Amino acid sequence: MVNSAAGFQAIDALIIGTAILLVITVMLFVTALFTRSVKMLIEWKSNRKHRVHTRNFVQYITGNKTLEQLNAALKKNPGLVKTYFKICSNLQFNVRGSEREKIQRFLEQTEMSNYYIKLLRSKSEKKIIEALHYFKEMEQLQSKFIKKILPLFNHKQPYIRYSAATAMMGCEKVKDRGYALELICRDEELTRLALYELLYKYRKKDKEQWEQEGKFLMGLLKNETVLKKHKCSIAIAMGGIGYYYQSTAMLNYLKELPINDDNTPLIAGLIEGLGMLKSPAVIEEIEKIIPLTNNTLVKKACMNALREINGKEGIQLLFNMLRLDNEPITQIESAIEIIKLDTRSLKSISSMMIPENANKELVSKIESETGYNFYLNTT
Amino acid sequence: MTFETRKIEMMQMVEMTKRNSSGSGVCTVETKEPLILMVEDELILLELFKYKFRHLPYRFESRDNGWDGLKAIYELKPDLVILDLMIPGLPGKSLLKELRSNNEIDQPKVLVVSSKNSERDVDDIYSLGADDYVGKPFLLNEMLARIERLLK
Repeated sequence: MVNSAAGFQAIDALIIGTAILLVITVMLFVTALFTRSVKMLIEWKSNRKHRVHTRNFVQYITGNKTLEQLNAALKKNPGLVKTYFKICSNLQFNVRGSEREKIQRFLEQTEMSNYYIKLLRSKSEKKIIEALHYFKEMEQLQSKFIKKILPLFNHKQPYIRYSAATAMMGCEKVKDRGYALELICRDEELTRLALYELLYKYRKKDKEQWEQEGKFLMGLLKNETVLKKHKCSIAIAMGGIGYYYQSTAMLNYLKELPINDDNTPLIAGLIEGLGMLKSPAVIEEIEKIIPLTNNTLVKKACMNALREINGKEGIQLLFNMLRLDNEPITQIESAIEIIKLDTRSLKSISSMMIPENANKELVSKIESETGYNFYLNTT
Repeated sequence: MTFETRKIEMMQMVEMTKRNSSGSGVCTVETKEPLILMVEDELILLELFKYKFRHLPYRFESRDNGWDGLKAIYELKPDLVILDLMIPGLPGKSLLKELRSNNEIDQPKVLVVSSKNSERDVDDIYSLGADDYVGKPFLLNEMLARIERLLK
């Protein structure tokens, strides 16, 4: 009797436990369903809102709505600024010409700029970045915004400093853009790639500005406050962008520079930049510099320059480098460059002994690039 | 879903479309206005073209991903496809390749729109069978003129 009573109690407990578990499962299911539905509803509403405003903006672009009408909507609901900015930046990436001009006119509206100026003053880094994205989208940054952006060059977050500099590349005057470059080129944390991007944005199509830009960059190369590693990138970019009229100034500066460890990044940059400008006069300088330095960066810049100039003198000089250099790395990299320039040089290279202490990985690199076996002397 | 499964699904659909159009009783409405299909994931561009074509003698359809785009080509048989290369799902280049390798359908004209503007990319696009190419950012009027030329 006692046993069966205990058995019934156990069964009751099991049934109650199962019921509780079932209730909990149902509750969890309903909660999950509710949360998901709410999320979907919010998403649907936001998509619908986005679609409606996209249509409004399209009507403005096609001339069926005026700027005043869009402005009135923004005044009524300042929360729309973000939606319209997103639409603008998406469309700006895809179109040019009169449509782009219209987008720019819309971005310049006080309702838009006031909203983002407020964000610039925020303590949240995310909001500051958001605001800077707005200023970066402006093709011409008005002078009234410069004062608001300049303090951000001292921000502790490197991305904000970089974004501030990018936004400043929209300034109309060369001296404003140049000043931003000067400030950012004192920044130890600025990467080479980021600086290149800034320098390409610094360039404008206007001919008069074009002449001033090159002069300003030349000034930066001589500026004591600019970091040496950034000077190297500036010199290379001057060649890459094609400030041809500065090649004489660059060459003269290269001649002036004493060859020491401190100057090597700048020397390397100038050589590479002049190579990109295809200035044949740099070959003479390279001939002078090679015996005086053991710096790999400079040697690599010399090779790149000679490859760019692509003359017979260049090939001859590379041969000399290959023969005279003590470093296996330079010998092998030179070999690759020579082969790229002139495949007939293979025989001459193979006649030179590849040093025993040469890095095997590099030797196999040449062999894989050229299909040549140095040890068997066959292709 | 794998590429192969999607492809088989597409082929079955092509078969069905062929059967339907070859006297199975389904009536298709003949319209004179050419049909343009835009495969593009950027909502603002879709809306812009939709708005522009509203006042022009064309019918306009759009899809925002590669798979739906390919499906719509087989189903709707457009006269011109405006194809963006960077789209979700089936990439634009694969879509074009798939379309051009299918001998069982009437080939539509394809105008490729892409931000990949290097010479090599453009060369690739033409070798895949594109009829024309417009680089991003583009001039809207130039784009419309090219569309008109392709549909003549």
